[in-house]
Amino acid sequence: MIHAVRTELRKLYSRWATLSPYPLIALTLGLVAWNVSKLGGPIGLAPEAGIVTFFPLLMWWLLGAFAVVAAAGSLGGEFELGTARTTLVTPVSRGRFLLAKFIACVVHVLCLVVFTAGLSQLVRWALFDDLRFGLLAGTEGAYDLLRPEQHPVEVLSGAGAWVRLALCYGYTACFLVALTALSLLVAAMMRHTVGAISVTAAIAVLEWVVSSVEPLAHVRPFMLVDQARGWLWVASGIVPVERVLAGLASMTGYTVACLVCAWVSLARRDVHA
Amino acid sequence: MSGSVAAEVAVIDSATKQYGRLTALRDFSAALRPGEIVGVLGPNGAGKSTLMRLLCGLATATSGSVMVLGRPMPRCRCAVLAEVGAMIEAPAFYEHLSARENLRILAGYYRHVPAERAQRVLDLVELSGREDDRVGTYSVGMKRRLGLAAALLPFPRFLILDEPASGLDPEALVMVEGILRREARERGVCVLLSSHLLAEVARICDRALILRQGALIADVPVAPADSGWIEIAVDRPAAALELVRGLRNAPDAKLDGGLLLVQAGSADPSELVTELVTAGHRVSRVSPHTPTIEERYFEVLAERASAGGGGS
Repeated sequence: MIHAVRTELRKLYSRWATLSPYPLIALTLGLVAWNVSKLGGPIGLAPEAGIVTFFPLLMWWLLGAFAVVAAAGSLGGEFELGTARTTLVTPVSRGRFLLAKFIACVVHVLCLVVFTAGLSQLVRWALFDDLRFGLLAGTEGAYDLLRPEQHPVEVLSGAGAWVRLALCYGYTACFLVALTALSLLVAAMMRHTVGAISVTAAIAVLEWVVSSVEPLAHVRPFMLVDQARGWLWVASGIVPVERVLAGLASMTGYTVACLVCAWVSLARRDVHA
Repeated sequence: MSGSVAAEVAVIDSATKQYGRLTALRDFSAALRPGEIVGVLGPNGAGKSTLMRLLCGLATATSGSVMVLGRPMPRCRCAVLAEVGAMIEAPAFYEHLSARENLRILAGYYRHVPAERAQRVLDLVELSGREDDRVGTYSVGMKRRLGLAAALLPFPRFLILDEPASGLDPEALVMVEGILRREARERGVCVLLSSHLLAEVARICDRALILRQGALIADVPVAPADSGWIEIAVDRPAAALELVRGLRNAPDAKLDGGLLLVQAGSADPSELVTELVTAGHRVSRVSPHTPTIEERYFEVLAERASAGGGGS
């Protein structure tokens, strides 16, 4: 298993496509930082702030998109190039093959989260000479930063803020892991990278739409995107901690269900040319 | 088919594979023994690759059974594939990695294959010197050789090779044939290869399985064998055939590519020659008819076509 995971990581990181999110994240955060410093405070009130706040929101989707692209390409690409055929005539089982890909993709998305978090802290420190509240997660955290009047610093002060910060990053990671599992499931069924990316994105958007429809409020806890949106508010103290645990359980179930279905699809269906 | 499963490398019993309405392989039965090289022949779409996919567990038979090394496929896929080397269709590798890296990745999936084995098989297929180049820079023939190297990695007892000679230059072809012969003779490896090159099959195979429309229509030895006919090289063969058929106690006779064929045992060759010469024919040669695999292949296909076609 260790060899399989190491191999998948080697394959993943030998492609430029896997490395491309890093400069893109740095660029996006850099643009945010540049805009913040250019506009000065109070940022949230400035009419030009719209473009600044857009970047963090874009970042939130970007991380998800990077996770989907990596996972769909990792499995779909094997079938498109025919390398799945070469690998699956060795004694590696379909389950091990899939699990190794999943673990490698999870490592990749965790690296992205850590990178984003680290860089965000750096930006925070560079702009405000303050590392205490590194809530600039590169996503909605930056929104907090830009609109301090909406999310006053007091809410985040003390140890509770750090706990919320950890939850924020943890929840982001969980969302990306669940999205990775969903991408692998779609890729295992479609066996095509672009198709898998498109369908996964369509499912995510559909979940977002469904979770926004008020009569369907009772299904929200099972909606991946809705759960993920929740993390944005966790860090700001809006969502109580007990809902976070329910959300984590929901995402874990989501991940396991996707992986099991992906395994069934891989194991039951033939490998064609 | 039953009884000697353990002694056979592979036993396929009434295997049928359907893709929707298309029957890619129809009621196929065959047994493959250690140390033999078996060629799979047939027109495009005859079911050759499907047969190979069934044998290495990439596909599951719709009905019938496939046993490889005494174990059912694809149920025992992992255990079986530890001792099987396969190259199915065009070999595909990670093009941005080197040949050595690709083989090391594959070697890692086998418990008993040391990392150094990658270099050994690269030497065998004469890719040393280019082993650190990206596979993307390789020619079609080099990729085939790399595919063979990958198949040889696990010290296989059973080699499944889909068109191993396709795209190879003459020197590489001789090298590959040499490797396959050595593996079969010295290590007792059973080699199953598909090919469109009948001359290649004739050179290295012990027997040939001929498929048409998914059905096995012939299982023939490749070595030239006495067909039970005598071939007579004669001028004006059509007139000679008429003459032979008009004789008293006329033997079975037919024409084959400008040669007059007469059923051995149904006539005395010397008497026939005398009759032909007396009638003014010039006879240049009389010999036993030993058809090549190429002749047998087309003969079998023609027989099937005239008998109503297909493998049904």
